[in-house]
Amino acid sequence: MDEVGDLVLRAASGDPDAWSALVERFADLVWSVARSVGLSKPDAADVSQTTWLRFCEHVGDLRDPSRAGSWLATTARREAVRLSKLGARHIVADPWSWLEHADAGLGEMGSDLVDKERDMTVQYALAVMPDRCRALLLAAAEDPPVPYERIAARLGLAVGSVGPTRRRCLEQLRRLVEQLAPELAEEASSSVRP
Amino acid sequence: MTPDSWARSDEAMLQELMALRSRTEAAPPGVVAAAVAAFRWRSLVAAVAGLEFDSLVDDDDQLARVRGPGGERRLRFVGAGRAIDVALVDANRGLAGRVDPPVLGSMVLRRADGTTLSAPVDEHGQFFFEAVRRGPVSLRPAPADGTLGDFETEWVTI
Repeated sequence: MDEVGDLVLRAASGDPDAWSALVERFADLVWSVARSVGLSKPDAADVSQTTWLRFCEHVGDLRDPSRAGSWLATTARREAVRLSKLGARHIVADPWSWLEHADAGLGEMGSDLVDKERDMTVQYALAVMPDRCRALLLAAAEDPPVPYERIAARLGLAVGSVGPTRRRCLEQLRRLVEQLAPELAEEASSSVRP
Repeated sequence: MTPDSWARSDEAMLQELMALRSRTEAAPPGVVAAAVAAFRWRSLVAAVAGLEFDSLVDDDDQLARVRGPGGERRLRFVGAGRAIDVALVDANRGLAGRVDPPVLGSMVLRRADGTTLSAPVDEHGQFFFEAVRRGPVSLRPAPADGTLGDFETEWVTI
């Protein structure tokens, strides 16, 4: 059981800290999904709230607790599509369609959509990484970057091990992204060869 | 951002993570706080009646999805041996519903902020709420004998 799965089981048994940790990991992803469908901020807020309320109803009966992030993204996307119809707006681009049609190719998608999808795939991968890696990579990707000394202090690491840990975490992120979106990797390697 | 550029160097990958973080929007603090607060409903959760039909997305007729003034949206929740059918009327944001088989007592409409509305259920299982605000809602029958309803509907944004 990975960290996400463990948090889900703890939340299901009533642990509010585990719930808050899940929100901390996935709130931005749920928000991005809602916004990417083209919803206004108030509508995205409703979608986010409905998604978390549904998650609360189902947190005890997820088939695979470690895939809670995917459950949240899928639910948010469906709810966002629903709400966009309610507002009689058109969905120009739905970068999360691959969640339901994982086999679909990218041939018909615009490049903007592919970019958005890639962004969210990476965001998703970051959200499901082990806490230590997630914190380290978020700190390392701050602008300007947080110095190694501060990262070490923040995470309780020896300064000398920040570099190697960062390398391992980046490698893990690469693998995760590739695993999450094999079709994206294929698309990228066939069209963006250096 | 491509796996190709990522493979070149860790620095390139970090640069792109930085760029990604600056172009993606973080969830506003109020939205995060509301998500944390959603956990308050956990202890009340009984059996959940799932959303089986929503005319917004499930109507075969494309034209039916485009609703003019006074158009209505129909929802159906099914679970725990019961069905709740709901019609939402645009014009006055009224919510008319029917629970089958009927539950004698009242229907409670819950909102995400913790507030509730209550409406009587008649002998045919019918109930009505006036002027329901936009946002997530869930319905829960409250039988007249004072017991908590044996189920509630999934949350849905109306």
